[in-house]
Amino acid sequence: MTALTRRTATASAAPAGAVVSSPRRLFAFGLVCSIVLLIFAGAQVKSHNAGLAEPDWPLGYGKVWPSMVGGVFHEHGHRALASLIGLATVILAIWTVRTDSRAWARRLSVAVLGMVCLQGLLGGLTVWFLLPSWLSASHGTLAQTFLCVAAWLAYAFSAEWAAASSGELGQLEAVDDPDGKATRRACSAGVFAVVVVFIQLILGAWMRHTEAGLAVAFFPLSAAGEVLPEFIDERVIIHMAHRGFAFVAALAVWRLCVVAGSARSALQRHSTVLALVILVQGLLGAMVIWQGRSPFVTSLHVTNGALVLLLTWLLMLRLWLRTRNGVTS
Amino acid sequence: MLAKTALVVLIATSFAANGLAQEAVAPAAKTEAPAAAPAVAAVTGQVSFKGEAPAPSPVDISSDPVCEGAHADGLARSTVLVNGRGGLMNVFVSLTGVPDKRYKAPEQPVVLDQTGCTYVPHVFGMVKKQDIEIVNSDDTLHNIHAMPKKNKEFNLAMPMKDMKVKKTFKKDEEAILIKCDVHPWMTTWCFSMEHPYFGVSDADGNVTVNTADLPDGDYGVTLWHESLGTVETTVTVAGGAGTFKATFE
Repeated sequence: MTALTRRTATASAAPAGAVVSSPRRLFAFGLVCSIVLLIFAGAQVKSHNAGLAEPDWPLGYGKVWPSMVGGVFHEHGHRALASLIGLATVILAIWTVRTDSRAWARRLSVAVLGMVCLQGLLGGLTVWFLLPSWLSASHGTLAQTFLCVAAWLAYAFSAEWAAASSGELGQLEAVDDPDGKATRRACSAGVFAVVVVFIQLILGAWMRHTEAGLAVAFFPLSAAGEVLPEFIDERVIIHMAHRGFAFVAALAVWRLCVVAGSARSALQRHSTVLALVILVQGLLGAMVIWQGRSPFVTSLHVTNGALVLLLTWLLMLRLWLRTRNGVTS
Repeated sequence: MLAKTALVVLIATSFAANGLAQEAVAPAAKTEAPAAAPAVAAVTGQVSFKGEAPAPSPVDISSDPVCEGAHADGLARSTVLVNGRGGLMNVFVSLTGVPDKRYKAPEQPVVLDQTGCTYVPHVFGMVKKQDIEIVNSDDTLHNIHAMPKKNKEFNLAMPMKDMKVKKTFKKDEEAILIKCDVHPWMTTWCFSMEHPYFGVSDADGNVTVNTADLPDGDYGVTLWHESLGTVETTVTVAGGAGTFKATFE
């Protein structure tokens, strides 16, 4: 039985997994990695207050490639990388529409393309309207969303997805949860963790773009042993919301890691990595305060936050795939 | 007879010569010394700093070779610039309690220069609606980004040497931060004033406030420094002149 006829035979039991070519799979993986780099580059723009270093858009000082000095290096570098990723997303969308047999995957690739276009437009608007906080925070938040949706598309091209869709995954990995109950519970924990982490990211973006990052300039306690500063204003409230919610996010993610690893031993490595990444995220957050919002550390914190969201999202997807396709022994 | 004639001629000649000499002298004597220029009505002040000024902190200007070239020995910044005698620079001084009327903005623009990757002057005042002529004297990119709270924000590209742009602030507003996003150490402060009675202290802490058309009387003096805050004092203007002293700590 060829791959194509096997796919057709299992269509009635589960959505047919497409056999995606290695080049397309690798291209999508490369795109996701590039988006993570772009998020770092974008974070560097804010960390160096270079968001308006190029007063015009889409050109820079009237040129396609201006002199890359000072803040222009960060801002234009970010724009250039974003343009390349935009182009890569166009290529992937056309490639997927032309070659993927799954209608939903084709629609998803077009959605990813729409998101990158919207993200580019938001970036331009932040320059034209001189960085209003809500617009800058939206630009940062959409970047994380775009990352997750692109990762979903890349995962849809993976061998694991194809195996799950064709019912072969149960033969390829140990199934520790015969009735699927633990997997479904873990999947629910995954959905909850994704929502919580996303809220935390929004709070972080809001804090950053309202200049509240050092509204509470000590961690964990002040010299007098206080949790809160003496004077509390709006910026302190925003800052403490992000700081306090970090504990909620950490607990939600660690719970997910535990239940996911318990439900599916095949997901233990993923769970362990995620547990470590969120630990690093907490440490980076503390370092941002201790180092007085050093640009590089702050940008790392933003990027690692994106990784937390990405890994949480992917873990949830992997659990969902296993519940949806009823992967059992 | 001849001798008498000669004597008369001699005497006459002497008188004539004396007259000529007097004439030669007279013009000089008649030339009056240039009239003393009418005194400029002004309040003068001395602004000083008490205490130890923080040491300048070095600025990383390596991101732009033009800036590096302009400061071969590096660039250090301090907001508290004090001379050897305690004179404090860059204090914006303005009079309060001046007559409440409409003051026409001067025709002459205030010049703000981007030179050596710094703003000159670092603190300046203008009458609202007066033009600010912004100049790029550097052979590198600058953007001029004003961040007022009451006036309209602007952010303009100035990529070329000797490029000039004119802007203004239509409303009165204190301490408007203007910065360059390409070179983050570049900042300047602008005061858009209702009236023209203001000045900025120089390197010796001396400040002159032109008081033309200002009636004699007692006025408040507000002194602003970007990191030391605000100090208030008073001055009595008599015959268009007055003096004050103020100290920041």
